[in-house]
Amino acid sequence: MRPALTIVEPGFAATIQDRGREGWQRFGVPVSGALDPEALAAANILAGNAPDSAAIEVMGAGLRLRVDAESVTLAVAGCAAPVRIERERAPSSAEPLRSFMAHRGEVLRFPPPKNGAVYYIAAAGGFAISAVLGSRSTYTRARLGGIEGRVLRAGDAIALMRGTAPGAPPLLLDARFDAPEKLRVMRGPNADYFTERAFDSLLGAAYTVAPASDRMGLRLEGTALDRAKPGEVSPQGTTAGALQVPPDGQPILLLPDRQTTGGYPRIATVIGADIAAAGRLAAGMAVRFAEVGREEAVAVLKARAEWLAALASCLRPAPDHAITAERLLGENLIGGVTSGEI
Amino acid sequence: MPAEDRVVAPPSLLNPEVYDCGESAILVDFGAGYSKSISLAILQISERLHGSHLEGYRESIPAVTSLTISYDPLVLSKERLVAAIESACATPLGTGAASRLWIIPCVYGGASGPDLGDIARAARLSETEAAGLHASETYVVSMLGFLPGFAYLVELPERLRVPRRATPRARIPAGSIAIAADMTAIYPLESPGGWHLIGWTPVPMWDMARRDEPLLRPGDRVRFRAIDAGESETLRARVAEGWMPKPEDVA
Repeated sequence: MRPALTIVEPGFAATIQDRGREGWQRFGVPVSGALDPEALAAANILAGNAPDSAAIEVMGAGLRLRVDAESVTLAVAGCAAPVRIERERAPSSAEPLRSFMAHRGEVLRFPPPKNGAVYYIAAAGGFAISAVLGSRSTYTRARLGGIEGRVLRAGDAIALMRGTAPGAPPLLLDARFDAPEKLRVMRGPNADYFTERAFDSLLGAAYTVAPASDRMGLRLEGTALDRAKPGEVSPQGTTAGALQVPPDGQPILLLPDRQTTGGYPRIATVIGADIAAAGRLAAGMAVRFAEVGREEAVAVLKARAEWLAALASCLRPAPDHAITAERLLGENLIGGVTSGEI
Repeated sequence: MPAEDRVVAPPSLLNPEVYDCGESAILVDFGAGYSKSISLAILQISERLHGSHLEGYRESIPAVTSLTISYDPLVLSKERLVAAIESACATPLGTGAASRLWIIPCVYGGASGPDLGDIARAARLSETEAAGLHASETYVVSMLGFLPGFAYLVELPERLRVPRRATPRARIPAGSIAIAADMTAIYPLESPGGWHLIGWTPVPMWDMARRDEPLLRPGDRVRFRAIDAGESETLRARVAEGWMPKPEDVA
């Protein structure tokens, strides 16, 4: 049998994602890809993979995986809590942002995302999944990519490229992937559809993420955004982070599975440096918006890209003693973790 | 092909407004309302950008009156990108690449097109006349969106134009041929949708197992040919064996 991670319990809406499909939007194919591409990169870097490799995106509670390979090196990054490893003798835990080895027959119980929407599980060597239109990302609406284009379900065997973990020592990464309190935006392409009061509302009040949010968009609830003129725009190409406003005045922040075109006017766009952070927002969280100009947006995008490119050089050897649940409970896991900014 | 179909917007018509969509994309807006010449020009500019190998250019999404372009601002400055678009607008666009013409077989009405009766009554036509009117036009693919391979075919005959349904259907079968406002389309996948269903085709719009692009590309032309249930079954069996219609290239 092929080495694999087998889904014992699928949990909520776990999918395979990489950086997404670029170049197909003119044919109506959404980009898809990781909600938090920075956390995806961190998980992959810890596992020794290329940063954009496919990983398991976890969005809710209940995921359990069984290791059906001799051994595998795994890494978890994002809004994550320690992973519980069930085995006959001495169950243990593995911290996020620290690679760890799991062995045949062990069952890994993954916690729900902590203080955010999403985290990633990468396996050293990667998953053996076919690319569709250049990407392994799952787009469920058109049943593209991943495992049969759908969310993971019990019994799925996610094939591993490697059947045995390399003997490399475990690594850890000092970085944080926190859900944001504030997102920076630029004025949107259809700003003339809105009153100045609408901009005051958007930039003044907090908006709450509604439960109806999904990988297409974050539905935000707060002060309604007044229109200066009614109606829709002629359908236009959409972009990542766009804040589109349906007639009820409540903005929707467009995420990777967004439709490629849309007719709702867009009041603002979350800047590229904050797109990954936007993907971390979970239902019930509040977020504020702050306006920046294009030059500042490009400057902070450059800083963010440099930080991401330097992540691999921030890897450090992890202490080699076993991490037990008892020890974890006795330790302050947060102390000593830096922001990761350079 | 009628001569007017070959007319491409003269450069003086192409004076787009450029809007930022964040720092990594721009919306190039060619103005309100559909015009065949502007639409064809947008598609040609999009194709040119695709073929330009401009470093830092990512992709573009042509729409009926606009082009949305994403790029890496750390590699390509907005000024250079806008200059490339202005140059594409200023260069005579010629008649462009050969446009492909597809003849799509369609079973009109009945269970295949449950809204044809309502559409015909609103137009004071019989169902056969309404179907004939739909099949009499040569449509142009102005853009793809909504779903992978969902082509917006413009210039539905005036008499068939109705607004979208007040309540969208939860499930529309793949292959459904639908109309709304001034457009017609073929649903490539089963999906929810608010358009009126007038027919069905056995031709798959995008068989991703076999092809890495959809059947209909922006700029293609489409005509519908009425078929009966018997021919539909025959074609469905041929499709299952791998048959696909071939386009007639129109120079």
